[in-house]
Amino acid sequence: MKKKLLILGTFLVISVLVFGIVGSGAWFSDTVSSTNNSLTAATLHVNVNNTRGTTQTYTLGNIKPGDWALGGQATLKNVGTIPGHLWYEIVNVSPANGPLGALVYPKFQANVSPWTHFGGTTVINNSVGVHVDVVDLAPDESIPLVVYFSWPQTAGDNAAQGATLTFDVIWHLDQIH
Amino acid sequence: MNKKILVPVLILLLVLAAGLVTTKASLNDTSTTRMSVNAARLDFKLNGDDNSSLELNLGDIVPGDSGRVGIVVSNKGSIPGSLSVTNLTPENVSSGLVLSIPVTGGVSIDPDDSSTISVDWSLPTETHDTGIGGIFKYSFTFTFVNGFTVTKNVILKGTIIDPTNTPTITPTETETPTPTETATETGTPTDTETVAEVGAQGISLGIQIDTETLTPTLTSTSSATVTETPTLTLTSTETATETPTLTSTSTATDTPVQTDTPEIIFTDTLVPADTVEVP
Repeated sequence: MKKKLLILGTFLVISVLVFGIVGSGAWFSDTVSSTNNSLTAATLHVNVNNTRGTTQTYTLGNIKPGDWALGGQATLKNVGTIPGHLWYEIVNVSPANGPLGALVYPKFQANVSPWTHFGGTTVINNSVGVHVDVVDLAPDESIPLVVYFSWPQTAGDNAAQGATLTFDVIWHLDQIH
Repeated sequence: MNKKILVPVLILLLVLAAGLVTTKASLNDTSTTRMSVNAARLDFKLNGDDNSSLELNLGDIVPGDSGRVGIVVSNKGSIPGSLSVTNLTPENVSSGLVLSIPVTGGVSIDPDDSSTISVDWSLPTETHDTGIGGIFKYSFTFTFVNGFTVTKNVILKGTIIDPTNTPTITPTETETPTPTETATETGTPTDTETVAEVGAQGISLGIQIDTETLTPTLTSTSSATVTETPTLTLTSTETATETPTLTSTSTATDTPVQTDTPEIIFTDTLVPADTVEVP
């Protein structure tokens, strides 16, 4: 009989831990009823130049060795209702492992003081899938970013003459916990 | 409670607890920006030729020849380029050819535009003894720079002809010079003597003098490298007013041969640019 009681007690303790402490955290509860309540879920969206989710194209032509060329500017904005953390990754580089992607460095820079730089430490071909943190954005907060492409001169530059390259930058805005 | 039932229940509860603790549902969103990058092209043509080397042949030249070679450099890239010409490398350093390139660097050429680089060349007359009969080659490096660096070579070549090894050309003039002066040599020539003078264009005149009649016999031979028909314009109707300063140390032992009809033979390069003054 004592053994059964011991087992039953253990079961009850664990149940309390799981559903009480971890689950609700409330040891005591009370209820108050009210009417005409509405529940609104939080939202988290990132816009690029006031457009959400749309692929926008920026083209930089005639880049050459020694250049530090401006590719364009994009304004990233948190149009949600909760703060989010902005970061980006480069994907879909085409052609994969092409000559131009092996020579050009992509770099983003805040177009506001203190002009912080993001990324640009590796060439495009080696930047695929690399997580680059940018900044935390409060609801309705935005940050203008300019993208630069730098091409340091090397002995193998002529191999990329006339080459073309496309890639996607995916901007992520994650909920801050 | 049976122990066999209790243990699996405990394990299940622990797994549920772990899942609740570690799982964090969160919101996130993404937007995508597509980037396109195009590299510039830097390229140029030489005289409309895409090859990496251009060969220009001056053909056969002789001392005294000169000319100019124009090389058209066309920008076939997408960006401007700065052209320079360097590394003049002779393969035959003894040719004596004098080359001049007015522009050696810093010529900017826009896309689809062109510029002509002139190379002046000359083979001085006094380079008789250098490189005669030889083939010469000079190599230039044309470098086009703007971020990229593109180089092409231009080879200037030709053959210097030895004027002394070419067939003798007998002029067809039939006019008879009528010099009236008398020679002043006091010696007694024994035979026909030849005195050579080299003209400014490499013409060598041999003058044969009959000291007895004091009527000089003119002989001339020509060895000009003639790729075109020489147009000899000897103006032998002039009247010599100078006393020939011919000196001779020969001793006359025979009766001079008198030749009534002078014969003119040229012995050297005949470039009929000057008038040969005949004493």
